[in-house]
Amino acid sequence: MASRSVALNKRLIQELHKTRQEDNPALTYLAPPDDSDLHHWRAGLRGTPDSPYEGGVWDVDIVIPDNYPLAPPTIKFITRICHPNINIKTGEICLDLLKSEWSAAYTISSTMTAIQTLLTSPEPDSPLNVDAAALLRAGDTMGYESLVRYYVWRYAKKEEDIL
Amino acid sequence: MDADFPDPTDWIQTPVPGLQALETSLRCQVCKELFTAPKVTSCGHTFCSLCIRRCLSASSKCPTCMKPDEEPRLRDNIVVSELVNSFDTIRKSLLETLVAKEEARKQAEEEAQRDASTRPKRSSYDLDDDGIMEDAEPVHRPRGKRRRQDTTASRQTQEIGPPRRSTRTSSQRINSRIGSSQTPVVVESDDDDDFQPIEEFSEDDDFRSSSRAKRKPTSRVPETPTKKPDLVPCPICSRLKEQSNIEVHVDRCIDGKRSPSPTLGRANDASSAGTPLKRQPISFPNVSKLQHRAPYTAEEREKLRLPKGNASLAKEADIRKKLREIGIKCDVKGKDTKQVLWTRLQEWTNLWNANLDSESPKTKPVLIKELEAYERSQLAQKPSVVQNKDFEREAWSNAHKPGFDALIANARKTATQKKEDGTEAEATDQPLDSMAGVQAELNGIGSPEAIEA
Repeated sequence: MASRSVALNKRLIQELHKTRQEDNPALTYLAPPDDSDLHHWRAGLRGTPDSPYEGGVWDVDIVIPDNYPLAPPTIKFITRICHPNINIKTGEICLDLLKSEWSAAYTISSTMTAIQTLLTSPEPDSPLNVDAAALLRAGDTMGYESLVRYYVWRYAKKEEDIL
Repeated sequence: MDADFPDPTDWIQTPVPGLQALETSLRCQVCKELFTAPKVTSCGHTFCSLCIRRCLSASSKCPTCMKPDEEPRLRDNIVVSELVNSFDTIRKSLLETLVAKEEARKQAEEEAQRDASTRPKRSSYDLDDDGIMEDAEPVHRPRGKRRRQDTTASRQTQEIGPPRRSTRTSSQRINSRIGSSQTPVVVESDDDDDFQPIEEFSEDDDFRSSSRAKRKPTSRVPETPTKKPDLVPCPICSRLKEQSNIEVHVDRCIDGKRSPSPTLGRANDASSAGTPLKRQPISFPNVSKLQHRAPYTAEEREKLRLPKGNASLAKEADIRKKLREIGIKCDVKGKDTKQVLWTRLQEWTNLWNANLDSESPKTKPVLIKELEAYERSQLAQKPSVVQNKDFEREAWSNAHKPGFDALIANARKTATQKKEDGTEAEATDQPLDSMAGVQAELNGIGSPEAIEA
């Protein structure tokens, strides 16, 4: 811990401070689960309103590398979610923003907003969930949406339960 | 927490939440701190010198707009650095006064609710506000166009007693700083042109690129007009002359040295610089300038920006030699690879160049310590097992053989299944699982993630 950069810890505390002051509408919470480790955060991601994900809340695991913000955080879904670009078993997310297109100007909070946007704008051409992507590519929007709704109903936390 | 980690959101609770936006603009998007030695990119975004240098060495893109950019193109953002300095000096007292005011207002409100006979608080507040504003206006005026940028901030300061004083002093400070910081600009427009290349040199981060530019002055021509639209360098004596007078001047220059040529008037057109007759007079003065500047004193060398170099061209021995010359340890953990050495040199270059930009430069030993601390923080990650040099492929593949076999069998099964029915997979749990196998295989069968999945 001591070897970790002071500047990074300062930035993370600042980000944390900011999330406490300003609510991100995409999230139910965003904080490190353990106060002693600033490099590991958890978040509750809300499903976008007016989408099949509406009403669901997913726990998301965020691991911040030592060279953050030059390198992106590693973000995984803990709660199972059905999405063409999210691995249904590991929760791994395929999003260019978390890989090649990462920029040091992003924050954890803004990255989570980007992931929420990914929910409603899937990219079936680079899938991590081949079945969901196949449905979308075949143009079966109704089938896709009911599959998503089933997973929301079956696995995701419900927003009304949390509030 | 608020005291230790000042943040734009501190202003939300004050009577002027608009200050949040002001402070957000005064903070670097990368480190979220107030700018230190702000630099502006060619796309117009401002970052701390060290932050943007680190970002650009990681990926040559502006972190905000993702447009490609390079380090030598960075320029100082003097106004922003002044804004940050003056904001930083008033921030604490401003926040304290505003918070105190807000608390006083809340208290007054509570009292007003409790005691109905009190006079309406609202009207007295407005009156108070206006009275002081009119009074404060003349104090504010000398700031000129700077005034518009932080009206909200200063207006609020003027509303209360003590910070008004600090505003005035800070405005004076700003004025004096403008005076001093604009001196180089005045020198730049001065007709003494010998100064021009030196100034260019000190600003240019890449030693080689600038010396290259001196050999071929025509390549620099497009850049100069962006700085000083009216001044054009004469292709012969390379003095800056007004564009309207350049033809007359060029003719005079040629008369002094060579026989006049009618085409030389347009000599700053790159295509016309091709014939040997025209090239000679162009190159001579520049070569002499190069020779003139070649010997740097030790003091001057300490103020030079370091070049970035090229990773694939640099040899490991050269990098080692360079690092040793600077006084940086090589081979901190056993034998460092070329990649590690190169990264170290790059980080040193970033630290060094950013240090030169800062108002209070640190000494070399301090910088070397910083480099070591930074590297320790970066190398704290554990490398993946597979990437490890001692990684035993045989043992690994034996240990995970069942996993590999299952994946292959699974993939074959789904492949034949697909051939048989030829339709797309149905959206039920069963095919999802089998597809996950194929997909894990697609992800790279040898990777440990695939096996764990």
